Amino acid sequence: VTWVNLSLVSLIIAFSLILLTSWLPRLWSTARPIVVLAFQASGILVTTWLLMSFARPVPGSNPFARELALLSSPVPTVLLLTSVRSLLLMGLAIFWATLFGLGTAILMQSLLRKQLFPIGAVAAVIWILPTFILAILVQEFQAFVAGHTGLVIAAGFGAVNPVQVFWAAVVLGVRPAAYLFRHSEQLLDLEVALDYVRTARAKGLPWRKVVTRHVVRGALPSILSAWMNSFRLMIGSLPLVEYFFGYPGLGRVLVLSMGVGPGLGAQVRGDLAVGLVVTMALILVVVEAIIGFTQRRVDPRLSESALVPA
Amino acid sequence: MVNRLLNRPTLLLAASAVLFVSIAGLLIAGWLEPREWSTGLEIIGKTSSGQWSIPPYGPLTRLNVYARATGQFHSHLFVLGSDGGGRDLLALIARGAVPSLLLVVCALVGRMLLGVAAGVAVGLGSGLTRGVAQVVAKWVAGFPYLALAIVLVQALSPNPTRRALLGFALAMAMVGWRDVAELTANRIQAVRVQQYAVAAKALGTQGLGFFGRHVLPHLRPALMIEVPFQASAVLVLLGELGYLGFYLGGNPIFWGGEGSSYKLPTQPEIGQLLSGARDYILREQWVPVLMPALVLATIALAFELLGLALRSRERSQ
Repeated sequence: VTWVNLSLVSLIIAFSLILLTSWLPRLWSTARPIVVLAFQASGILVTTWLLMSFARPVPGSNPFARELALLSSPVPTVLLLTSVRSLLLMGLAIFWATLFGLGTAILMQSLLRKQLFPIGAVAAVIWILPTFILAILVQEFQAFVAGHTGLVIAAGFGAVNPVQVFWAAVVLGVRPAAYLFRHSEQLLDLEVALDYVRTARAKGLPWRKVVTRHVVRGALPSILSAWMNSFRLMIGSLPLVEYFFGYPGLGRVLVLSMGVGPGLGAQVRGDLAVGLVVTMALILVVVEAIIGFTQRRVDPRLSESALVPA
Repeated sequence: MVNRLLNRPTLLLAASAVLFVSIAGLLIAGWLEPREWSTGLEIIGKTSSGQWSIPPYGPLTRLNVYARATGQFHSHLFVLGSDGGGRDLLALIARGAVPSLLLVVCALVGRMLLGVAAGVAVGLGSGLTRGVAQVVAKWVAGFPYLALAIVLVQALSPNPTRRALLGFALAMAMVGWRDVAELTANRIQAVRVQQYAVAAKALGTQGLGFFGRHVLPHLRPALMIEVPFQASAVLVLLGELGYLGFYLGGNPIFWGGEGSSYKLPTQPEIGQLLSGARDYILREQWVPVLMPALVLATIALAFELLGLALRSRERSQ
């Protein structure tokens, strides 16, 4: 019932803002993202709640004792704890994915790409590989190193420590990095072909400065869209990576709350599952709103198109 | 260089065909093996040099294995190796591929139908229909895809011991229809501004008649290009759900000692073959995990290449 109430509150906020902006149309461009956010939040809340009311446990399942304690904690406690962990993991993953993906694309453009062309082939291969295969390969590598050298490079299962976060972030960020690289490279290519870039070069500006000062700035709104898609990809595969590495964040606890795991006797915790899905969805929606806002700041033409009331 | 390769439709089509033929050959070879190799437990094997070996057996291993059910030894070549119960992975994957591919086809059809219907609602519907379709699309966009897929599978196919094919397929279809809807809506929008479309409207053609006569001929090639990409995405989703413990096959059996048992499928399905991955990885046994995963990824790659070839050919035309 709490989730349905929250959904109604979101709807009321959305409708109140629509009513308010019908009297004050100047405020529409500011209110629009909040209205969209509130609509999305209410839809996500009520849809998840409705779907979870049909769920049943998977027999032959039981999480580890440590996770069992987490699962039996109150919903707000679990949500807070797992959100912090997942945000830490996603933050690190998206940081290195942006650094490598966007950074390499800019570097290749600055160096006129001749020296770094094999990176394009590597990115294409990584993009084709599904995340679960990457995760399997990383864990096989960890097991191989441990088996042959005795050196443990993996973190404990269900543990939260820097080693665990490092490996999980590596796997979580690989495909977003490849995606961001491929799309940024194409977008920068398109931007380079524009007249103003040729003018900047003709005026004698060094190529690297043309790229960093003009080309990247010009392509930034589209790069931000690509970044958003890579973030969407990343949060999408969060349950898989967390479950794989036994990292007790939003994704793994979501799978466990559905009654899946090794052992016997787990139950579905519908209230927790709803909360976890809604939290993940809200992270996505909020990041999307922030990126949309940044895009409008970077490219004022987008703000002008948003001034027209829906 | 990579972009240049991706713009050569013949090369891409050839690569895709090679992958499809290789996988088809592998699956047919698996089907030709007697059913017992995918159901019985072969609990111990003896090499030609007389050494004893316990499952999982490695790829290309010929062993004289002891079958638990019959109590007899049989000589067998494990082409892709075996699972933890000594069952031939080639036979398991071949038999498991049938329900998995059937599921993929159903999910694909569902995605295309849902996507086209939503796209038509956005592109040709009244203000209210368009609004509803856009709101639903926004909601779906707000969900992380795997979380939504998990919740949908649990809701639409609630009996985990025997998941319903249609419920499972519908759940997988409801995750990725948005791309198809966007494609359809964009094509409709592109057609609507053409002069012939304006003329047709002026002559009274509207609704589904307009869609069938003027939009569909333009939409069909675009959808044909989208189908292989969606098939690839559905296959990957199947693998991911399978790994997380959401699969189509029935209840698995647990084989082995206390605390070290293997999860073995009773009705082979590729998702279920992946569900025991962690048990194998923790024991540093890569064959039973990687083989089904690689087969799944290869089929997905073949579809991806096919899609790229079709897209590249359309651009060159």
